[in-house]
Amino acid sequence: MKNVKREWIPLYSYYDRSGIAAHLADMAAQGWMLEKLGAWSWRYRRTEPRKLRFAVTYFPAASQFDPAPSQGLETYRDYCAQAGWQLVADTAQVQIFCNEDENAVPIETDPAVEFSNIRRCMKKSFLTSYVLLLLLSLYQIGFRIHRVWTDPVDTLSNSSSLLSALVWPLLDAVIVVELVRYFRWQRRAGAAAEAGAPLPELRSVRWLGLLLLGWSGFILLWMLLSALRQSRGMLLLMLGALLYLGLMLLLSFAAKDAMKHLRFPRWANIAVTYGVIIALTVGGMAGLVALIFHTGSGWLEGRPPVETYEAYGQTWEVYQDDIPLRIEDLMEVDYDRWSTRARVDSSFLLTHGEYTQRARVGDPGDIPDLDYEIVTVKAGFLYDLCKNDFIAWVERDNGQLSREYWDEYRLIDAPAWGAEEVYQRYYSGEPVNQFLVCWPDRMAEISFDWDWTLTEDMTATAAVKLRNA
Amino acid sequence: MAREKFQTLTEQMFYILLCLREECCGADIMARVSAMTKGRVAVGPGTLYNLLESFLQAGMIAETKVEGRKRSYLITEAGQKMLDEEYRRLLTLAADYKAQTGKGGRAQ
Repeated sequence: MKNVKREWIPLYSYYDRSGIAAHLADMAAQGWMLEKLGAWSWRYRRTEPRKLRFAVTYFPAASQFDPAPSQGLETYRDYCAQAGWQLVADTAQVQIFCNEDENAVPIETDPAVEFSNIRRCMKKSFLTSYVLLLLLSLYQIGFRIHRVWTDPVDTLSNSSSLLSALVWPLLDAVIVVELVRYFRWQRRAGAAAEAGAPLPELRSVRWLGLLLLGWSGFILLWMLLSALRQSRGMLLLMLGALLYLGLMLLLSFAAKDAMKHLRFPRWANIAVTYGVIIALTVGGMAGLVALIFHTGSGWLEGRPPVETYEAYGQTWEVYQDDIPLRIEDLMEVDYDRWSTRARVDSSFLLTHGEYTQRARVGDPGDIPDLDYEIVTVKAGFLYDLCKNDFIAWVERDNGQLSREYWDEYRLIDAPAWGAEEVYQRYYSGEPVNQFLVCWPDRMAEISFDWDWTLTEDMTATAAVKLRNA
Repeated sequence: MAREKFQTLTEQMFYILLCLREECCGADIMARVSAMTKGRVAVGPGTLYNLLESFLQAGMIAETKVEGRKRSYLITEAGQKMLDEEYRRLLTLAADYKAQTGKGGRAQ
């Protein structure tokens, strides 16, 4: 028979004193006595079933980084012990006591003092951390909106990025609900304290925590599945990142506990623990960049090159992906050592493909290249945003140039494309062989070699291939 | 906003200060207040700790002895003055009550 059991992620709010006390009393009545309050779990030890009163109080000056309870906290606990309240467990400011005497004098008997103590504690811990989290979350939302605005095609076609963005609004909603509830409680509790009446209760909204947890789990699972669909390398990278994050948390907790054990002062423990977290975060990012730099990104995309070769002192990769339009479709060429790459991202809003066809570096002769992108818009309201993304990219530096040197897309009349609108790129007033072709639910941007003379046949062939890809 | 600090004393503040007219260990105050008021007023340990800290900060009591974790306190002049003012305030309340109702003794 197990003598120890854990409750994982108990979902009680930090301020829910009566809810936590009632739950611990129920557990004690079933023969499980709280032993330790951890960051992720509460640990219980089996005892004789007992009827106990529990009290959850706060000691604002305490910190999880203290090497030992301060003199003040020891004195506080001594007073509680004198009144029959025995310390059960604690974590940072939260102190949990129990008492066998049903009629014992409560730990807090003056609502005004109790209220002032709770306010100080909430300001120091709960409010500070929630406000910081809210700011971080708002920054994330702002950053993603900015990305959608400045780079809509790449951002909206990546389903992992889109889904991971959806966790932040829910987190914001949870934080705002918690903060509003707390401030409303604070107003009612202030009035009660003023009148010398018992403070009102503020219970946890456990379903909200469950919703956030479930939603985060769903998004994480979805991201893992998306990664698996993309490539095994991406899945391994994501699993590795999750494992690293877990290890980082474990290491920082272990460092904090070790320093507490070695009696490091609070400031040193805070500095070293946060230093470890920052060092491991920066180290992890640097390690990832070094890994990709060293091994190339082919393993991430799940498409290792079919071949590599050396030219001009560098290693070059050769791919043979299927691409919808090839140079051979447009003209006759006496060359067959192509490298063709296709990179396609897809979400419920957009599908975005980037395609290239290149000759090998160092091969003799004037061999053409072909570059194009195709965007299929599944949500019509995003069409203009995507079109403007292509146009804005070409015209991005015009603000620093005089009008005659502008790089821009101009609307042209080119019926051979069979499109609603066709734009051609003009550089310093001269047309170049780059087009933005807009069909009702699809657009393609294509660059031909600068010296090609594009015939109507070539245009019509390219249009059919790009339209039906 | 709770009542302004120490403008008036709550019952618990009043009795803690009253106890500390004699040097007394913090932990013993709860029992003394209970005995002094025949159980009518109970001071919880959390409330006691916070009030003693506030009184110390306000200079109304002073720490007289520290034996391990056991700390003893004694009321200061400022604390005594506060206690006297509260006593006078209560007398004024009682006098006003008498004047308005013509009743002496204990209110029903």
